[in-house]
Amino acid sequence: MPFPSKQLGIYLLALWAAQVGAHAGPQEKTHDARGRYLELCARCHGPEGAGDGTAELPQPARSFKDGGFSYGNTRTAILRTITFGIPGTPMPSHAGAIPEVELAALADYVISLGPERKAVSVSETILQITDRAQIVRGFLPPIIEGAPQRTRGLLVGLTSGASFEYRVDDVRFIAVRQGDFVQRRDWTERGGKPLLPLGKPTLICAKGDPGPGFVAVHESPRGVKREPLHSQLKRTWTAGHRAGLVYWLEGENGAVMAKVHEEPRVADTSAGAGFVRVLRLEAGATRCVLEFNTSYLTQGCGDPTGIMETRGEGSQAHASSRVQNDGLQRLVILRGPASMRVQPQSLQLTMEPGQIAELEVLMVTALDSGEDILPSLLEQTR
Amino acid sequence: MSPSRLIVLLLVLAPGILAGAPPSFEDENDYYTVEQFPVPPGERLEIGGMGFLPGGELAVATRRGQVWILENPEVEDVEDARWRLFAEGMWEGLGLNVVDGDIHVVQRGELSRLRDLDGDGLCDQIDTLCDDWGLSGNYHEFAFGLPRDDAGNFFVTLNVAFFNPQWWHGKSAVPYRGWALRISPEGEMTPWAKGFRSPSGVGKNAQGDIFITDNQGDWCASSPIYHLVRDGFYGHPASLEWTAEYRTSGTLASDEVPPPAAATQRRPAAVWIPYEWSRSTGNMVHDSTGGAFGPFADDLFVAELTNGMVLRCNMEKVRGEYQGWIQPFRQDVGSVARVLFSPQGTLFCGMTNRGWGGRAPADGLARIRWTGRSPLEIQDVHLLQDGFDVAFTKPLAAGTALSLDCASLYQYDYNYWWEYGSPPQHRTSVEVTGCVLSEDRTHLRIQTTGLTPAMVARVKLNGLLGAQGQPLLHPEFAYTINQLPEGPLTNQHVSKIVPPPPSKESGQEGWLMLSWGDPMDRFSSEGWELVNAEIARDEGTHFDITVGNGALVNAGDQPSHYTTKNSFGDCELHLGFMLPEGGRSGILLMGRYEVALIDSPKGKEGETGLCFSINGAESWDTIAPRFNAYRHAGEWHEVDLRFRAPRLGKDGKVSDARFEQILVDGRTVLEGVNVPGVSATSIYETEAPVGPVVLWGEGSEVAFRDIRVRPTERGHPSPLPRTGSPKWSPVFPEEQFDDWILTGDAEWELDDVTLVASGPKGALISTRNDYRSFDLRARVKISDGGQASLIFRVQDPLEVVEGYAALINSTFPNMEKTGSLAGLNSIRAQLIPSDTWFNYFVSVREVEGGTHIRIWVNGVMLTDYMDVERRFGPGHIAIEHGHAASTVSVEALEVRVVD
Repeated sequence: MPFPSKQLGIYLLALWAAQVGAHAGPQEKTHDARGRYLELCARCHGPEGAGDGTAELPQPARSFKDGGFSYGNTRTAILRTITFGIPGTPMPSHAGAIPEVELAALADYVISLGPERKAVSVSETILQITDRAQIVRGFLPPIIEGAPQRTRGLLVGLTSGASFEYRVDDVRFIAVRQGDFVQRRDWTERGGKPLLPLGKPTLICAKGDPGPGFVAVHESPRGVKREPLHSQLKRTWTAGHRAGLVYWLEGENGAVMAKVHEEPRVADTSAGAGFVRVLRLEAGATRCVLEFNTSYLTQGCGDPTGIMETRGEGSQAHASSRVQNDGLQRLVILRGPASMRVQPQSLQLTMEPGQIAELEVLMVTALDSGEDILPSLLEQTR
Repeated sequence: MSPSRLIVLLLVLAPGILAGAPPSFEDENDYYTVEQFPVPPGERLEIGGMGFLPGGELAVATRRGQVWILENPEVEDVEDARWRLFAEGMWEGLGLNVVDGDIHVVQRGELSRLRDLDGDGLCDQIDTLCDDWGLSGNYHEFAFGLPRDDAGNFFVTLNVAFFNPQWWHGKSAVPYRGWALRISPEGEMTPWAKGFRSPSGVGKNAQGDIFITDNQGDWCASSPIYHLVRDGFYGHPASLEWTAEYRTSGTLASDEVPPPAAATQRRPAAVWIPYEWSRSTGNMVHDSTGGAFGPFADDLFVAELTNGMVLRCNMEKVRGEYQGWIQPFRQDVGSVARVLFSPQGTLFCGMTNRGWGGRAPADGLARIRWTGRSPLEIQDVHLLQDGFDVAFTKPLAAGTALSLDCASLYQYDYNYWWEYGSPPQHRTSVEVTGCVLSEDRTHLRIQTTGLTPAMVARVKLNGLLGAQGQPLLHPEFAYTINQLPEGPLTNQHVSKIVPPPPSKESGQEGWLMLSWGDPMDRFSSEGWELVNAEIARDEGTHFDITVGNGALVNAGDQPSHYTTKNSFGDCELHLGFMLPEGGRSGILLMGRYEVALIDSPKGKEGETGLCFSINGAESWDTIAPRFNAYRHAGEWHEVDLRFRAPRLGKDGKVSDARFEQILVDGRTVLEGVNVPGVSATSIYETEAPVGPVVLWGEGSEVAFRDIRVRPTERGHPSPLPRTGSPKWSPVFPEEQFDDWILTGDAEWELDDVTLVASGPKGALISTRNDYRSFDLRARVKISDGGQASLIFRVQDPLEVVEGYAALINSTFPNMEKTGSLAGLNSIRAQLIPSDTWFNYFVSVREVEGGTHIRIWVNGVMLTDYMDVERRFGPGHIAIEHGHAASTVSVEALEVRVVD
């Protein structure tokens, strides 16, 4: 018999007691992770993580004290590296070697060996508008389920609490929000995360995926060709409570059909609240007919057709409409040059070379008292 | 310097001097001080770009999209620093330049000019000068910059992306990821050079040439400094997709096989920084201070994050191209990403390491100033044919005695491959044959038995002391020898093309294991049995059959061919086969193009045709293998082949079917064989785009095993995932995480893009409940013994998750494996191994005859079921996790609503 049985029994008992002890207390978790670390990592990375293990390696192991990691130093990234290893380096995969919960504990332990981290708190990443308007560029998540994300996006935040969401890879007005401004999730981890606009959407254009803002209409004897124009962002600006953007309408061949200065504003009237987009168009070198996409103004409001009316008034034209929905009425006023032609989904402008045209697109939501408040609204917002 | 004017001294150092070297001499701080600026309270300055305004103020761009201005960067006491915020709201400023007083910042998505029009000290106008590059949304798509050349053009570099599932392969999913761009002052962009991975530093030398640093990883052996040349290719293949050549051919660069350009067009690194000195290199700047920073005029100073230091580098042109040396300069600075000299001769160090890691401080601003004391340093290194001429900042001690030990030297190179970095390879000691000090004791000539080009030389100087007995502050340097000054030019690189290492994937992804589980399930056959077979001892023309599951044998009466139920076009095929003596069978790709299997042992060549011939038709000849790879009757042979289907256009055939490669037991027997028509043994008369795999069963006995096929997408062997497709949208958008509906007790974890469920049974259910006709797709992986389902048209209320279920099951012991529609269509073959990713595609249509449900796995349709009862109406989409011993991983679960 190789062991005196009594001694073996005591030995096993002691071992059992040690194991029970090792798993007993809450502090022991670190101890476990430390044990795993010494077992699995220390040979290369050193007992204290200084990259000074005893193993002979083709290249030195990472020093955790330096805090640098090949594939990022977030907990997720480190856990992934521990789990899968790094191909081409001596860092092996530990998948299946130890239970996943221990892998996670090991990742935490490895992080604890590094320099102290300054965690980025959520509150630190929240931008609020205080005394002046702000514009934030970034990656916008889908505004609603099913809508596309916008890798180039822009939020215009006004001091009133309204914010306006645009995509700017091809400038298009996407939504109006009301409330807090934005959480900059790109300030966390490695960066690159989408912004989190905090305002509640009060208007979402075309389910978050509106068509081109402007279309050029080419009429020829053979028929009408409608050419969607690319809206190339050229500038953003802020001035006190105001902010806006400038973009150029580019045709297929890159020719600039017009330059657009757009300023989103809040419309606060006695009838109700809403917003207005003020656009100033500078025509390019050739005469063109432009269609401005207004479909978002009437979406989701019952039948919008046949209710636009246009009134010439000197060099200006007004168009207004009223659409009802669930006890609310949405009032729309379009103002533009006398040549403006209003259609159900768009308005059309004929621009002579070098001509400057002002457009105002106003939308107000009010309680539907059955009374026609358009005239007073027209008056108030002039 | 001619040798005759050199004094050669060979003796031992005076031990007293060595022992007496005061430790303070080794302290970099005696020569260069590091000071950390306080930052504005509550702020974090993660600096990605720096520039001086005309008035001497320092503008810094941060990863938080702000620009801060330090009004008094040269203030005596850094505690008196005055900061003000100039701009905010940008997206990640990782490069800054000041042009005519205007701050320019490269953001992630655009190059911008910032202006303060009303003079209130705040930026109020941002002009988009250029945004002509793509963003897929991946976190790694950083944009860096922003030096200008003498003509005023900006230079911007763009990272490749890293995303799951193959997160170790950098990808260029949108234009110009992995490129350097030149942007004119007017904003016109020219793609300038390609092949970069994470080129986080752009800088200029004293001659005005642009240099780019890259970061170690795939295709990038260590930290290189490249001289930027128009149209240059610097090694990372992902970027090649945006070249005209790749665009017109429609091909994508392989993630694992070096592109042809690697051998013919690749530009070498001017300097490879050894891994222990740099693991994350930032930008570089040359000393333009005219001596105000000490004795290093025109040298390049290089930022380094992980090790938290600044390195010093200098280059020379050898055979017309830059190459040079590098060494540490000042350590213990912090995670330096950006360096910039002030006109007064201070080196400003902008720091950031968020998410990347590095020495503390992790962010903020430091400055390095010269104390006025000149260290004994290597001033410069000049490559000679057989060694180096090393210049010092000041003379060595009078009477310095040199032995051959005064320099030790070795050389190494790297692997150019897809794996992460490369250890130094071929490390070779180089014998020092002479150490010669110049008369004025400022130059050391090191002679060796010979240096090898296309290798880095690592040189350490030992025991050299200055006039005051001080040692060299930094006695080591690394010189990248792309070419020697004389002799034939080498076409080799320091980073050498090596055979691709084994794929990191299990090797099973994309394969359909047609004969695992129930091997009859995916085939049409008569007279085939799952048995054990070996050649009969008494009668070698037959097999002895016993009970078992080692082989599929046509041992029954009047056996048919063994034909897959599914059709395939381009594919890879693997199988094992065994023939008895005189046996004959064949593999018919698409039922048409035959690789003959013939018992043709060595010595019988030519008698009845060779095994692995491609069987011809009357109109074309049989194509024989290069050699006879067939061994013997009764032995298993393993066949692997890659096949390309013919391309049939409207006006006839565009290209022939083609066997790209046929391997037997791992050896290539045929390669690149076009087959102009169907084989004589074809079971179809005409050609078609797809067809079944047919294993010939009507001749002699034959045994097959482990039949697997991998459909390969036409023209795109590794299709890139494209984002932004308008019709597909995620079923579980990350940003609506809080709204996800959960039932049961499963644990759901979202790691970047992978959704993993474990723990007790439970389901994750879409909020939307009106999915009627739609397509659903996902990448899925199930653990060994695990079980899960994609359930669609899930009906409210959700207490019981009820709907149509596409099963996810590799080895859980029931007969409904992956591809089954629960209770309605059973797939009994275990087509997908456990722990292997596969692509699931489900199509649901409400049509006249019922609810039409089809399920594809890795592009192969397994279920095609018409539910005439229309069991479930429009509903939710859910993932159900089956049981506590199961783990299911799901990625890119997306839906495309049809109506």
